[in-house]
Amino acid sequence: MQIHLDPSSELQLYKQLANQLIELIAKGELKNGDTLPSVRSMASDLGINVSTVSKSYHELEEKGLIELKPKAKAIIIGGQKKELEETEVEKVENALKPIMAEALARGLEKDQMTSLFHRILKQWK
Amino acid sequence: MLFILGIFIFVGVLETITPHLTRKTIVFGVSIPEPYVQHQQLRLFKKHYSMFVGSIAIAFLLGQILLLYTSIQEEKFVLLSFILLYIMLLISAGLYMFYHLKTKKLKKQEDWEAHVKTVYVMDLSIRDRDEALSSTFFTLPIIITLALITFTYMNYSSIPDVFATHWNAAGEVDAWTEKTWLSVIELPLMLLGLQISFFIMSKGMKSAKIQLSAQDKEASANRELKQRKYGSWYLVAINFSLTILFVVSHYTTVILEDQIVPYFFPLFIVFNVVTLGGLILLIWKFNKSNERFDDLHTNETAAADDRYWKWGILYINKNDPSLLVQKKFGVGWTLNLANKWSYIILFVIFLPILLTIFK
Repeated sequence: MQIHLDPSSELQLYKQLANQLIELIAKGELKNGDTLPSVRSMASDLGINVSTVSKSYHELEEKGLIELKPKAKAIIIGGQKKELEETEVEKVENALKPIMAEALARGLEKDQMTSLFHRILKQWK
Repeated sequence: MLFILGIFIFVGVLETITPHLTRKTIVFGVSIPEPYVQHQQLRLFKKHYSMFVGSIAIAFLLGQILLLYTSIQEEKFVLLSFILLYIMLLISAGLYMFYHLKTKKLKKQEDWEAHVKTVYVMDLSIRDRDEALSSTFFTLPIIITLALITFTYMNYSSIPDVFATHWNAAGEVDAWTEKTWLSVIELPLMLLGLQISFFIMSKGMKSAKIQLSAQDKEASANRELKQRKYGSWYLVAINFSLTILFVVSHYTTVILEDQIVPYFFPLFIVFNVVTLGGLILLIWKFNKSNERFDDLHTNETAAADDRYWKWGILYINKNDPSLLVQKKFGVGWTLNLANKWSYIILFVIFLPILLTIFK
């Protein structure tokens, strides 16, 4: 369960951290009920600012993937199988649409996109 | 006299090899970007330091051995040996500073940081693999001491009005103490202070930050885990032998009222063997788990924390919640001086010294 952040990437650090944590949940390495290190301990292990980690955690909280309580560790609540609400599916759809549109606009074939989709899904199972 | 000589040799060897004991990414307290770990100049710095300190240690040692063949008094010899020891320590401290600045200059001159890519790495699961001994090992000695204090008070009336508190090397009493409610538990109280410090230190070691390297995360994770494990074993070994030493001393003098005790000196020797022998084992284990950086894959390096260090010795980081951090020079852990618990530990450690001065 390694985290590897690259400050020279165009993606901001907090976003990279959030993305990698989300990926770990998707892969099932971080399971429902697991705890994340405290913001300060994660920040000193990584060597980045406390505010950066805090920003990532808040983003995950907004997405409903972790639960943050004051004076307690962050608990993973994502990753479990459940009936997704209509609005959540809609959210994913809305997020996906512009990315797919951009890919099509750049000239990707629909077949290519489908296989790309499957390939990524396979990585996370 | 041979005992003193033994200590001198031990410290001399330790001082000589110190630059080689730290993580390879840290040279004389300066963080080295991973791709430059094998830099020729750094090897030379370490070699020169070792050669210089080593030859001073050998010269001082030869001087002392020559003195052994003269008719020097034992007290004079011991005093001289200690003075030489401190001179050696001062010289190596000076040399450390010299090479610390030199390494810093080299790093800046060749602009290493511009040639590497700094990344931030960590492993979320590493603390689950932690094998450091649990706090039970540190609470047990505390319970023993509390029981000893209770036992002492239960027998308060039978303790003599004056009792022995200090012995010379021959095992004869050379200091006495008057009986009061406080003086009869002075030794257990001191022990309790030390045990509580050990307890806090073990907690601090567990939560100390884990620094992985970008080149080989698995090897560096292995190093960190091994160092935590053996570090805690060493702490437990010292804790238990210290407890046995103090409990036996207290029980014999205050409860049994024995004044000439033949087993004190052997016990003291055993304690030293555990402390020093354990340290040798610890260094050996640490060295074996050290990463080699033999093959480099990229120009990446893990983020360094030099800005939180003063001269590579003092660590002051408000953002780091942990109490302890791995030392940048030598083996072991040092306090995070931005953590208020640090001052409590320092106070407990220096309390006995303060008490002797202001008594």
